[in-house]
Amino acid sequence: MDSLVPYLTNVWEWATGSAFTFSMILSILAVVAFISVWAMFAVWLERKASADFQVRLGPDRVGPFGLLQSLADGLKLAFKEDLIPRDSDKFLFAIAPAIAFCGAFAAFAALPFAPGITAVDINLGVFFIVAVTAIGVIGVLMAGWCSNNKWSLYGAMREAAQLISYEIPSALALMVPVLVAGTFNLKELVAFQCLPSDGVLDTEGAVYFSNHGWLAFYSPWTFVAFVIYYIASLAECKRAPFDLPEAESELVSGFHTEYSGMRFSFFFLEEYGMMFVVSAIAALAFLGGWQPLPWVSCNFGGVLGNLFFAGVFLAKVIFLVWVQIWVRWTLPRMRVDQVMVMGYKYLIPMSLFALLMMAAYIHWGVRYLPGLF
Amino acid sequence: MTAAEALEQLKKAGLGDGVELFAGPKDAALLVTRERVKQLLRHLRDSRPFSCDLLLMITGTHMTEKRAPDKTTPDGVDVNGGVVKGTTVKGALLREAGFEVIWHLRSVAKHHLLAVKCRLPLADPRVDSVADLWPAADWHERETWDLLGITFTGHPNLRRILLPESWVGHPLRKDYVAPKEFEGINLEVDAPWPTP
Amino acid sequence: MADPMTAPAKPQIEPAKPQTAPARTLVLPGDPRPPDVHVDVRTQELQINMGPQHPSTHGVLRVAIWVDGEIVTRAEPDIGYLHRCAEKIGESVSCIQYVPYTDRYDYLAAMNNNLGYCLAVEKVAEIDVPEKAQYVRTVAVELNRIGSHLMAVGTYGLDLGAFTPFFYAFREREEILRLLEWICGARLTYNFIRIGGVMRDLPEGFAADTRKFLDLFETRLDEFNDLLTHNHIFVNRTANVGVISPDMAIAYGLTGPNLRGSGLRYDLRREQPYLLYDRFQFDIPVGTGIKGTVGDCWDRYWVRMLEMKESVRIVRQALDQMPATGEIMAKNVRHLAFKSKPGEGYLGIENPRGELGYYLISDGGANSYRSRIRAPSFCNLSILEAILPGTMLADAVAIIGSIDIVLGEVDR
Repeated sequence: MDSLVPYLTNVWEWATGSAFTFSMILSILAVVAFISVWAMFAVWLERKASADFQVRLGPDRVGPFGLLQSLADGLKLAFKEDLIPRDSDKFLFAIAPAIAFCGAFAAFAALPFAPGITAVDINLGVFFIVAVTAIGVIGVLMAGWCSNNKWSLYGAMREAAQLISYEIPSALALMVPVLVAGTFNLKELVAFQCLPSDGVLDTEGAVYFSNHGWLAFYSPWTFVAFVIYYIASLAECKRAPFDLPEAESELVSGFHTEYSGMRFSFFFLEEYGMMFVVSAIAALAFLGGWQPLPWVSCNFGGVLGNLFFAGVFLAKVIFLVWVQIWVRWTLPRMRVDQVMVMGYKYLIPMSLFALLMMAAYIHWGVRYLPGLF
Repeated sequence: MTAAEALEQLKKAGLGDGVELFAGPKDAALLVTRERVKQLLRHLRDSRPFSCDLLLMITGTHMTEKRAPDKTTPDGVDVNGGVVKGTTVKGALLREAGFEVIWHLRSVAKHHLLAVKCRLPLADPRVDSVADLWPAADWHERETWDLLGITFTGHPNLRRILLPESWVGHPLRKDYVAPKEFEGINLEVDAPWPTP
Repeated sequence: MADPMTAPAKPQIEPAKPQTAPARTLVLPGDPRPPDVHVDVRTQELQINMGPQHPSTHGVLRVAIWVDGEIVTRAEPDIGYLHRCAEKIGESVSCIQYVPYTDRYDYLAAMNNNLGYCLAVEKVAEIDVPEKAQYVRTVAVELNRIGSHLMAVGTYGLDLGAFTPFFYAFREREEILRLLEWICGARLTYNFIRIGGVMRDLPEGFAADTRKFLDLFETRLDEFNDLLTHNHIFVNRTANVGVISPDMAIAYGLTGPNLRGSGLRYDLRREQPYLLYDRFQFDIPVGTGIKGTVGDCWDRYWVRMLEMKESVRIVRQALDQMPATGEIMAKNVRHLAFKSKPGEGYLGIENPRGELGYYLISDGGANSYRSRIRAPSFCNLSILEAILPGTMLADAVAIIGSIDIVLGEVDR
């Protein structure tokens, strides 16, 4: 957080545009551009992957492999009439998609893509992201409430219940790697996973075996935490089998039933943005971030090195997103009470237990089996 | 079990009064007076030899009067050369006017199908509801009311089911005339409707 | 990892006694909520309209649902949005002209509807159908039954949020549609079975192609089972949900897979064999409560899956036994001036959705005097009122899907 303070105090400097704030604005623009491109890519990936699962072809008319299909759809959405139901709360109706989008958008600010590519390097990165992604639920609640539609309200209430329930296990599961690495900083979390056996990260340009490896494989409890985090993150993104807030066979379209055009596409952006954020956190905290192999690390500098690391990181994120898509198109939807039972009766106790056991393991200096190694 | 066998069984059980055999050209049925409909149906459902537990359907028919063609003797000439007008004799009554309600019952255990029929006068088409014997009868009776206007007394919720609540008339009656419009909706095929 | 999805068995309300009419007041037969919830967390009852435009009412069904939170307290189906005056049309067109109309009622099993009507007319008009035509009818009808059941199980997965099985079901159904298109030129509304026989003989090579498809289809059924039937979430969503006891099923006039799902071995193809069903060997699958209670949604679904296998057997036998040549149309049917003998009759056949019956009265004219359709979906749907209270909103979707209605037939 300390790096945010100078920006807020030096408003004048921000307005006059020194080099420092210029980079800030640039990174905001970069994040906006990245989310848009990412959402288009993710939609394309989802459609292609689902087509593969469903013995179909998927989009293949617009651009090579249908890559520009999302762009065409985006254009269509942009040119659609902005429909606002007569009996809705018009102000809330208008700003709800923006607020929902804010959470996912703000989280990008703290995401490091490579050692040298990050908008803001926040010491409490994990904490910040967990906090801001929760903003999204406010937008969804507003959207459901102000649409003046009972199905929307149902979707919003389900969303609120589900998100609040699943933030607890996901945050608790994230505490396990934080406990192991002893830092909230996402970059330092990755650095912990890259650490060579001598404990000094200065072998520039070298490929070496890292001491800790990916945190998911650091200890059984980190692996449990990884699985819990992944399941809970599916629920946080409202992805099947937890897509109850927009369960189209039950609630028509859930909280965005009444939305169309650009406002609807903002909910879309939010969903795909969130998919990226949770997958990125899973990749950073559990799967070694930009470290290419579980126990093999490398340390490159310069622009090329950073681009290489960003590529590795994006590949991991895309793989995790692809798994989310895979799960979505394979599993049926759970019922609302089953979702709650799973969250409160299984995931929360298990994540608490994993956290406790990890703390005990660290206390005893054990990684895998007590008394052995 | 055929309808004739069923009638014999009923007579043995002392329930034969008011029940006749409707030996139509194809499917036979038990023809029963409307006062005894419910009692008979209850017996058919509950008594072991029948055990007609599955109510397949209830429906009705509007029977118009049908007579054999009139017989007319041709005009003739009498011995004096005068014309004698021919006479017309009205044909025999082939089908009485009225409503027929028919219950089709199936026995899952005994594998037979029985039909029970009841004739109702045109002016007062009402018969006892069996919705308390079979929940299945609920919708069938509502449909029969909706399309034919036969009242089932004792039905808990005799509303229209297929047509809108505000519809007038019962379309399956033979004297039904289709309306020209309904609540501002034009129902004619080629309507003199003002086009904008 | 412990099994995360085993929710405790939900309290089921007592099924309504068949002797009593369904309660229409707001008082419930049994409040499913535990007493403390009932007293402390009292929420306002909300009335929502499921349909007529809703993704999982399979058409234009409207179910008015009163909910307390997520729990349905009362449900009232409202039908008639697709009423097309079927019975009035039956009185105003001739019997021959009416056959294409029957396609439109249960449009997923149009072949079966053709058959039901033609058999009823043939019964009243005393027409004997040649043997070859009966075999052709059997093949067509059973293929159509497989297609209809595929649609039912595919959309059932869709109702529960599983998209992919739907496409797998449609891949198979596409093959069946191709075969049926080959024999009659249409994919949905066939008008293939005519009064007195069938439109035309099976084309050359049809039997070989069908056999090839059936061999493939059996392996694909197993694939479908792996994908959906035994899926843990799917079982959790359907087992012990919407339980219909055998007594209740009979009282509400349920027939077909819904009745058999409740454990009653009752199939008209066995009870009163109509075509040549007494010549074929097939089993009648019933619900046995493998995953939950007898008569739950999973049982009804499973009965359909097993019935497809039996249909495969029947088609194979019919193709084996079918004479190579023979008449396909009865001699005494003059199609241009068809007049039935006076008389009346009811004939029920085993439609994929239950007993489809046609009750016809003929007074000797070209038109039937009265033609009443006993539509299975219409009767099956009426049980909704009784089994929805006490379930959750998501279960309502599962139950409506498991009953497998076709609104074209409900509203006629």
